[in-house]
Amino acid sequence: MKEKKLQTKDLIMAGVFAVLYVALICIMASLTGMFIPVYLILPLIAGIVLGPVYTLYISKVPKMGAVLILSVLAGFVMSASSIVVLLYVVVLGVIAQIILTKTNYSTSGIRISYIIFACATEGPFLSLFFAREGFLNTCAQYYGQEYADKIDAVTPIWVLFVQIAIALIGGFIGGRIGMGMNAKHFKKAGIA
Amino acid sequence: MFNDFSFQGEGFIKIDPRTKMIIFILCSIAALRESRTLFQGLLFFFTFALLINGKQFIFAIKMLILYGVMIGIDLLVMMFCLPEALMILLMGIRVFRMFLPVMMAFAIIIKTTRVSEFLAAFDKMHVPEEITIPFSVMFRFFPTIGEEWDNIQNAMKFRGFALTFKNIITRPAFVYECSIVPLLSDTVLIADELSAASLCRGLGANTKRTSLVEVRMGVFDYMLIGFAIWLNIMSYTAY
Repeated sequence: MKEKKLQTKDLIMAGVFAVLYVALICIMASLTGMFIPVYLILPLIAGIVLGPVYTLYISKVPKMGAVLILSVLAGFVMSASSIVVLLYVVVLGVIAQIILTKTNYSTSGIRISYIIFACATEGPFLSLFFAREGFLNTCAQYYGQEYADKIDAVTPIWVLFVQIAIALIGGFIGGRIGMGMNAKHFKKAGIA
Repeated sequence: MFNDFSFQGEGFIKIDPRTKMIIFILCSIAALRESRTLFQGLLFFFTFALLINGKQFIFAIKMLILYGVMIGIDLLVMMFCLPEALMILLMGIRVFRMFLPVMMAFAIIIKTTRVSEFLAAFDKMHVPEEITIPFSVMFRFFPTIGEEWDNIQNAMKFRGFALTFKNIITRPAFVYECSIVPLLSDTVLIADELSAASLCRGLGANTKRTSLVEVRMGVFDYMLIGFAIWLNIMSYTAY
């Protein structure tokens, strides 16, 4: 794939796909929000559902910086609870971009980069982790270390790591579905 | 749901978009480190006042009621010595309470700033065109995508594949393909049309673009930033 500068056409495409990305996350969050256990595996579901969005976007705009723009825009909207999320998502975007450039936008390259980028949906949960640290510190100062330890014990931290793991799995499945869908529908329709 | 991301009206006193962003960042730093009730209250009322200034009355009052209820539960649990099981609930409520001011600061950015103001502010911050153009497209597009989504859902209902609980459980892959493929095709077509329209209006021209609206930092902006910085310093020292 030739690496050209991003044209205005590509920038508009980036904006529209960023909307789609964020809107689908909103729809999924509102559908699963009622059931807490399902809500906790949102990274897995989002990874699968957003796969076609990502792969179609990359095959439409295979240029330097395209993933970066998507990560900045999606990160900005997802950072409604804390600015940390934006930084996290942008770092993932940079890694995904490096992978894409190294593999020269091959099919497997797109899939590998999506496995990394799928962790972006973990962002809002990550801010909970930072909040927990601050909360425990204040707790220790106010009610004593014992109380803070007790709270530390009842709120499991390993959930976060499990979520990242299932996000990676979601990214693997989503990338597969996305490339399959590209071949089945979008290439024939002349869109991809 | 998608209207949450659109401009809704200007405030009493105009605040520079850059000020709003700085306040949002400062608030999210301060809120994550602090959970003392008094300090949180201060942060909450700061963002609450900004929302009132932005004429977001309904949203502001909803948030106020939510905050009041959470404080109420907190007090109740504290008074009637808490059993272990309620501790998780209490923790959840308190953590959510920490995020509330940050969400409000974010709502101020989104709901009280015109897209053209955003662009003017970004221009002054020397943000490259590669970010500003997609950014403006994004905010223009939330309602459109919402409409498309509703139309696709209607068509699916008509054929009996509606996005209901039963369908999601019994045939998830089929329902998923039926909604995502038209959505993606629509999106690509819309993007093509939009880029043709914007090229006609000279977006592709290789010159520096000027802006109709002017953004300027006033005394009020510096006061707000000063207050937000003071809140951050407070959270370090006042123990």
